[in-house]
Amino acid sequence: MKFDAGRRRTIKVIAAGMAGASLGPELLRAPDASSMTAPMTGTIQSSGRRLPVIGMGTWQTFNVGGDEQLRLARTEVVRAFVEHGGGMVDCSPMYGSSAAVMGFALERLGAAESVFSAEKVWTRDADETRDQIAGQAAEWGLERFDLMQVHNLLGWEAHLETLFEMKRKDEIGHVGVTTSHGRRHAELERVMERQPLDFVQLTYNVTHREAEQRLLPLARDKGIAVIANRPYDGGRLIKGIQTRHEVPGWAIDAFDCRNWADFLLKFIVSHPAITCAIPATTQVQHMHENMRAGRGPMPTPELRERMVRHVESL
Amino acid sequence: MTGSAAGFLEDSAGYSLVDFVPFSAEVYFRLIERVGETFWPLHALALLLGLGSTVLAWRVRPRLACALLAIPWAWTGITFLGQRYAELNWAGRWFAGAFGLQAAILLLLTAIGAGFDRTEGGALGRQPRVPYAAGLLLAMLGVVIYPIIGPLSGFGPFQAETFGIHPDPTAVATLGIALVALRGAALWLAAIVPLLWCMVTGLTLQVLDAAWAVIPPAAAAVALIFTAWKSVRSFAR
Repeated sequence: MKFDAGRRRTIKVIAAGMAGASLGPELLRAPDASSMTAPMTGTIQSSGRRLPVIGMGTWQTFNVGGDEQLRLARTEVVRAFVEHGGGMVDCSPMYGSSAAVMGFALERLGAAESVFSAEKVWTRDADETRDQIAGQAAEWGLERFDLMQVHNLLGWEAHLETLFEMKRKDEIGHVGVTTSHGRRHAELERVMERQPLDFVQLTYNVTHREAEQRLLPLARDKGIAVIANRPYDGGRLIKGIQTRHEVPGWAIDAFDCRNWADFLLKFIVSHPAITCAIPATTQVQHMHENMRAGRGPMPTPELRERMVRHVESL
Repeated sequence: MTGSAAGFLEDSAGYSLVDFVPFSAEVYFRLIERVGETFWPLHALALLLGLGSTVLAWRVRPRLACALLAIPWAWTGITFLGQRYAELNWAGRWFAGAFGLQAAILLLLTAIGAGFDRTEGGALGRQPRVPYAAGLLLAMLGVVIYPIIGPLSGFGPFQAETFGIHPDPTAVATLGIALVALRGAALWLAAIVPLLWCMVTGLTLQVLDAAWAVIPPAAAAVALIFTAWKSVRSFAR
């Protein structure tokens, strides 16, 4: 699948604005002044390709089974994502029907080329690697994934061997490994040092910054792109913070921070080692907020330190 | 066990409870609703089956009660867990298998004909009275009370969980009916799967912030206590 985050995206967004009468009310609200600025992109060092810094996750949010009503609702979330320029969509066989629901949405929208498809292998059986990838590809309705990752480092030795072979044959675009919840960082570090990875995925947010110590510097040194998962700590962080606190005025002044989604996501993607963050949502309005966080001014290193201190003080 | 399932178990250390539930509350309660809509008006027949099983167990027809109970376990295992829930959770296939196993256990006990408690529970005679009373209360909780919990909590009429249609009331009522109808090893055998399911669904509902999350584990605790009580009293005699 070809992904081009450049001019084609801009044309699509402008075209969406011109075709406003055919769009839903959420989309009509979407392209405000700042959202029409170009989305910030991160570079996949190994291939030189660029990705919008805000992607989307699908854990829990897209696992709706065969429920037609909810499938259509999730399709609107993907529509908003695509209208903002699209980018990485991350999924896993562990996420139940999420891949099938994403396939449903992409087929309905005709938008398969607007996403950078990131999937995972999640089995300890080395003989299942190719079969599981083929099964997930069928669910997505794709022939080839842009990125295939080993989920939570499960059976990574055997899977990586297969994945690198598939990459050589151009059956997948990139290869990566994942972890989450701050687990197995020592093992992840060893894998990063020894394997020619294109991507790693790990948990990084304003309250979980362990990766700053060794993994993010190592990723920069090795030229490995980094996906930040759990940017809202599974939703608990943003739900807890936005119900009790206002966004600080200095953040509004300094980098046009309009809401806590802006605050939390801009903190993540302004780290120089982070390629993209993958927040998940079931709400179109939240998708707009997430995607807007990938545009406009970003916090400086000094401001990032202030953001940490501010959240710790709450 | 598939590689994914084994991988999940191997990989589960360090997760919090919420990470074991791969769907949202909206999706789960929509599933309850869709199943309710799909099988309406089968609910009336299922309720009659539940009431009938309870009365038969109470009025010294435990073998027939046990045979009838196998039907809702097989039905919910296939239609709820196997055909729908398994779309959302890889473990759904295993849960469906467990429900099928429970149906097989109930039919096996019926076929063997051993382990039935033929005490006239209704007369509350010389046999331990409290386990019978607790069993009847659990059966009524599963069959009669459960369908009104959802609507009383603000959910729609098709989100009323019904014995024989949805797994939770089926498990709770079965614990009660088994407590009345069975004794000894047969009682324990018939209670294992419902007890485990009550714990699984209680934890799931807790993650989903359901107001009634405590009911299935509380019912399991009551059933466990009185199953043990009944066993000890039987052994003592």
